[in-house]
Amino acid sequence: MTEFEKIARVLAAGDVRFIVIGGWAAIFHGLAHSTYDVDVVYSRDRDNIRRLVAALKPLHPYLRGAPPGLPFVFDEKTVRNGLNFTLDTDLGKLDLLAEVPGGRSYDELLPHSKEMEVNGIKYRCATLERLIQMKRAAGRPKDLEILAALVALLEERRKMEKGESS
Amino acid sequence: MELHDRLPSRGIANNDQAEFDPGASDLPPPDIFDPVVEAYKKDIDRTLLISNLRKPVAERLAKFQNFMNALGEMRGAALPPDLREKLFGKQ
Repeated sequence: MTEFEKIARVLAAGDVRFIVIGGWAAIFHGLAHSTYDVDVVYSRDRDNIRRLVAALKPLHPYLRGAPPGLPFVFDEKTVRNGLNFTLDTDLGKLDLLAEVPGGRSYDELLPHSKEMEVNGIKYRCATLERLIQMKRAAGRPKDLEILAALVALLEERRKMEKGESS
Repeated sequence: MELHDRLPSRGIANNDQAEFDPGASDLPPPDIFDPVVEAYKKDIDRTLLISNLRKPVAERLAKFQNFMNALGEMRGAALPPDLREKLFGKQ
């Protein structure tokens, strides 16, 4: 079972620059659905990769779905030479993404994210508007239901902001 | 998000030298009309969304984590004892 908040706590405590996206970000914004992994976009700068590796290494990250025994070393070189990693960790499933459709890189997503403080942890989350754009850009049929729910959520939030909600 | 997901075209058809746009303004606005999404929207339970919007973020996350934990327990309960112990340890 993925420990969502604990993963965020580990990354935040390690001073890692990351933005929460995907299902968990949608839950931040008020969506009611289930998700099984944490999706984060991380900054690719060298210092951040160093901090990312230092923070996650104690969680024994391993490529999700890879056969046991496959030589995989989670270190700075691996992260620098790779891009997107889908990992199993001691705290659950974590997708480390350097580039995503619609959101693209950390630096491009940064203006479309907002900082949140939850239970003493500060981290950034993609805005609801950008989450919708990212889902559209991904163009996966399986996302249509979630996309519709996100659009409905945006409509309800706007109504609430205008004082129109019942 | 899947490992094989790749960036879509940036939509620059006629000018490869066009300036890079950090705001990604070639993306359609989030509330653009899409008949397919509209069809799916009819089945969305908005009362749940409204109820969540009224909750603070910490409460939304706690509710979600509790739900996922309960789901995990239910899944564990459905497993044969030896496999349950292997996956979740002794309970």
